[in-house]
Amino acid sequence: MMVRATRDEQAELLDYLAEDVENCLYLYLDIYQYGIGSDTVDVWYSKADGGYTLITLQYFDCLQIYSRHDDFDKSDLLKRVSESGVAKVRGPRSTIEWVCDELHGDFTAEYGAVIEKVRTHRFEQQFHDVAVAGEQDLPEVVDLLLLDERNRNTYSRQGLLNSLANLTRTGTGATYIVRSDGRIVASETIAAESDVFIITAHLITHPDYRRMLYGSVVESYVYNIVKKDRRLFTFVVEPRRKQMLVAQGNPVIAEYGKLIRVNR
Amino acid sequence: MNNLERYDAAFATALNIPLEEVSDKLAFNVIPSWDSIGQMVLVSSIEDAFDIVFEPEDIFAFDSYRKGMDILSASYGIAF
Repeated sequence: MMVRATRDEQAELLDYLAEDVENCLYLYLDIYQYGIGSDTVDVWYSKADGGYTLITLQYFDCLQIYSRHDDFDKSDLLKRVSESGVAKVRGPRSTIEWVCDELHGDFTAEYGAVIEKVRTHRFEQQFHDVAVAGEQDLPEVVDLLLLDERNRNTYSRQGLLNSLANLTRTGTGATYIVRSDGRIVASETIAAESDVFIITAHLITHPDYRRMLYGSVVESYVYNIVKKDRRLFTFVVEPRRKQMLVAQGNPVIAEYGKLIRVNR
Repeated sequence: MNNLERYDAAFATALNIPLEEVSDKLAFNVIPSWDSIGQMVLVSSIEDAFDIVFEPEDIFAFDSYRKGMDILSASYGIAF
């Protein structure tokens, strides 16, 4: 049976998650940033023999899940998914594979890699100026992101906008943009961060502006200027982007999976 | 492996094509795998092959097989 976590249990949960943080980055950072008991995240867990078997965290329409040994009662998770009504379930690849059959028909699965970026070319802003997006810029960023088919299949426009706006409004993340011809042509988002870690997501360049290094400049800016001495992770599904990051010398540190509700 | 063989091997690996298809006809957007992502894969592969780091201007200018050789020769002292 799952129980809702309380603020008093936060430190113990964070210590537990930190032992295997590569496999639960968002879950760890969302608890760290927002705190159990906040309106933004809802954390539940199950235990057996005194040890955690499953930890879940809901952030908007996404349920992050973590199990170290995939030894939890699947019905607990199904109940959590049903009650929360989330559109996405995300966790370590092994766990997602383990539960995906149970959710067959309602969700489709995709798998990707967690890459730690340790190297990137240094472009800074010698070609293009990078700026922090304000809330007023985010609808245009979302429109840019939704030019990508994978994003269209994964996110609703409003869900994506709410997520980016919350990061900007709360200061728990930020979106960096490059403009050309008066329009936003590239962007990357810091989706979560702490004093130690940073997660980047949603790197995109407008199809009409590719090969002009817009994406590389914003990526370089975040890596070389914003990251400072923190570890930077990014989640990659697209095989060629993974090939690019690995070719640049960035290691794959974990595999993850995502279940996306069909017919949202 | 001489420099030309090293250069060709980097192209084949980066662009996911057989070595036999590497030629001086290759250029950005001529084959599907040499798009903006392929460009950065290619740059990284050539950097590894020759133990160099491209200047940003050179990455931007590198838009064909032949141009890449010119850049490597002129800016990095690599002879073919």
